[in-house]
Amino acid sequence: MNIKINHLSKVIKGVTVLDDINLELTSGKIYGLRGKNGSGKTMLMRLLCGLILPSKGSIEIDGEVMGKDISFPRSVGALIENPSFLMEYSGFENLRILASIKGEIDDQQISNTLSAVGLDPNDKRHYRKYSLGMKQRLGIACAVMESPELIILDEPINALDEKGVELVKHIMLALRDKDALIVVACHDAEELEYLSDEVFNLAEGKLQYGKAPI
Amino acid sequence: MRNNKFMRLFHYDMIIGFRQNWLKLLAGLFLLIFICGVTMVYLGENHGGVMYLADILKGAQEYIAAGSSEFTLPVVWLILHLYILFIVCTFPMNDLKGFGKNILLFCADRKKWWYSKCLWIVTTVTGFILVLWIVMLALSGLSGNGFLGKVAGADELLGLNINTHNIAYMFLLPLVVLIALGLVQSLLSLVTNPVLGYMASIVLLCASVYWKTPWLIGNYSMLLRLSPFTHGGIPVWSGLILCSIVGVVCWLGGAVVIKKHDIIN
Ligand SMILES: Nc1ncnc2c1ncn2[C@@H]1O[C@H](COP(=O)(O)OP(=O)(O)O)[C@@H](O)[C@H]1O
Ligand SMILES: [Mg+2]
Repeated sequence: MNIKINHLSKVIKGVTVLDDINLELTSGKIYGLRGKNGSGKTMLMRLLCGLILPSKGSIEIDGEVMGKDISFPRSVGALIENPSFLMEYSGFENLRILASIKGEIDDQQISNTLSAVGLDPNDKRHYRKYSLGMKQRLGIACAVMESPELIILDEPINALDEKGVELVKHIMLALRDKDALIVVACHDAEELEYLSDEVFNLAEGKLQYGKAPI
Repeated sequence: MRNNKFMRLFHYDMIIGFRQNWLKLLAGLFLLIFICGVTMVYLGENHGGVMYLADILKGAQEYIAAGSSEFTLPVVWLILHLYILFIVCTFPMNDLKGFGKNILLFCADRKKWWYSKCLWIVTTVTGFILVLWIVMLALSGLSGNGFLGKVAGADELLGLNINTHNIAYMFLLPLVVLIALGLVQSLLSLVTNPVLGYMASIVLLCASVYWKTPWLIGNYSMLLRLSPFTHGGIPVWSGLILCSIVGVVCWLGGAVVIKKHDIIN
């Protein structure tokens, strides 16, 4: 997969939140996004997964323009800001409802994904009763369960304990080795450096090409 | 395969729409029983169920400002209509702000998401109106007067001409009006927000009571304004056409709007 971001700007309610972003991303790599709160990381990720549309410029995925040829990337999983799930269902049931839309994966694969993020697939508790870290883990499971080609993770290790962080890192590296394209935003500069093949810095909606690839 | 995905979406909407609105729906059921019961007591015992339904759905006679008559809203009619619109008012937008974002990413089709919500509105409104008829059927059965019989006094009592030929309109017109209004409300909610969408419904219904005109959609839901039930009423066909146009425009218009809609919490 190849993603081309050309002169992308986003204006919301008169405020320019992303300003002339140019980027090219390819499969089999992890791209890290760094930046202060409010620098536009989440907005860029929303644009990448098709939830919002560019005000100017374009995002092309394998030659198809988002918002014109396609409204969403053909194969995408995303955790954007706080995960939102159905309160009155268990984690497993939430994922099963989502998986039923495409019908590509079965219950066993859902269970496996839940185990991989350290959640018990047989846990019958409702999402309402989940701790912050469990919610976060479920959000990650949701993003990766169908092994999409493009994976977008917005601050995935927030609220996670050490073990959780290790699990997530392990999952990300494994998916990258299966040729997924992963975009991850993270506060922790060290973790981001460790994980990413390339790190980009966002400041007030502008992209600054930061550290060289590791 | 394409339709299959739509059916799965719709299946989701039916189940989650029902579960997230169960309190509203249950309260609605009690409201229907209450409205039917009160109407039966108010009109007196010796009528068939259709008579009571006609009383609930009759709305208001044309308001003529010149006379000494004061403008009054048909309370029962208004409560019934507004409650049905209230039921279908919040779910689509709440879904879009929450779990529906995930659904959208998985189905990867904004239009299908919208069409499924529209169909959910149609189904829910239809279901609720069916329940109204069923409640009335059950209550009139219990009262021993039956449903279809004993409508002879409708003319003097309600100012309505009711017979076996126009009973179907009694079901059909409120149904198409409420579906059309539900879709208008839902499109407005998408463009602005659900509160404004619902306010528009209130204004439209009240304006329809105030002005008897074929152009205000609420008129077609008042039996007292319709030609099969009363002299000088508005013809049914124009209502069916207007509601169809409004419904289709909102259905398709929403598909255009949702394609450009930014989905942020
Ligand atoms: N719902 C919203 N409506 C309008 N502006 C928003 C909204 N959410 C975020 N913003 C603005 O967009 C900019 C970028 O925010 P965001 O992408 O969430 O930053 P980050 O994820 O890097 O912390 C900020 O200036 C923020 O104020
Ligand atoms: Mg953010």
